[in-house]
Amino acid sequence: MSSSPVLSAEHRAWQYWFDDGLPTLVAGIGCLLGALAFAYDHSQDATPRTIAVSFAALLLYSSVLLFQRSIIGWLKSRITYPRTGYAQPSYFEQETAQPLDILTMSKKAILGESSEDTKNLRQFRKQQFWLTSAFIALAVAAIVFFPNRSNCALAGVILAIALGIWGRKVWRLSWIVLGGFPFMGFFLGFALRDHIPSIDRVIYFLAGAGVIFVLDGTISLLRYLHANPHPTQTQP
Amino acid sequence: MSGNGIKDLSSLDRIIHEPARLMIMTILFAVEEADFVYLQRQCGLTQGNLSSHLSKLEEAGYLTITKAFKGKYPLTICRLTRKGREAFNAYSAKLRFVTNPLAPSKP
Repeated sequence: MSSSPVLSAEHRAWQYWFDDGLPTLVAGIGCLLGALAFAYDHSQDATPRTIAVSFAALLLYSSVLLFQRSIIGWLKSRITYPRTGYAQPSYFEQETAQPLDILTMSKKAILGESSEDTKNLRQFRKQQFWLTSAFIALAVAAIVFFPNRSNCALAGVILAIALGIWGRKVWRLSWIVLGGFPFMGFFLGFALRDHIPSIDRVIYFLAGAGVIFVLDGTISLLRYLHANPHPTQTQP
Repeated sequence: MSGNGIKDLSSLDRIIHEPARLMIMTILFAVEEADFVYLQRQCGLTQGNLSSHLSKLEEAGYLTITKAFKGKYPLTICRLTRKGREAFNAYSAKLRFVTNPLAPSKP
């Protein structure tokens, strides 16, 4: 990470958004609801009960997708903000963000090259987004169109790489996420029976991702709560 | 910048130039908004000290302070104004110009 105070403050604000584990936890619950909705959706023995469960899960899944930020904000307002404060990271590019390297005034910063660092970082973020999307699309295509055992295992590795790229310079990815996806890929590829329909493999992947995210989010949340007990004083 | 060499230093924005206020401005420049507790934890300032610096920045029109409720908890939310962002940009440009031995012209 650049030594510029503006960039490091921006980076810390982004890390802070993920520190309490709530975004990961909500993403995990979303994945589990999605898996539940799709699992019931195409089941052969459709009864009124399965249709109702599927519909409810689909409704909840859509709500989580649509109102993800509001849900996380609501949870944070009760858990995070009273403990460690509130910060809204910038979602869009600053109008004229110019990093100022005052504390470690290097020759590079004095010569004005630090503004190049900002451009490079924002360029990097855009590339990061497209690269991650491409990797995820590749993993899904591998599972859906070439559903064999090795491709399933490969998809797990690809998903881990995609998340690793996305998480780089944004938040610290835990070993649960980085190791969980390849493990899930190998498990689904080699431990399950043969000839599983493609859609089922996608559902298993979605459910597996949900379990990984929920586990990671819960551990992060417990760590956060342990490190930051509820304060007694209120804001001035 | 007037181009008077060393005298240019006197034109630096004194409101931002104070280290504690520079920390506050830097953090708020990097985020959309932040509350009192977050700023206090990031800057390592006492409650009274932070309050006084925030008041000075608010008086200068560089930031807005609003009391809001997130859930049932009251938050003191600080946000840089357009004037504040422009002042911070101008300050960084000036300081870069002043400290740049190869600066060809005005920033």
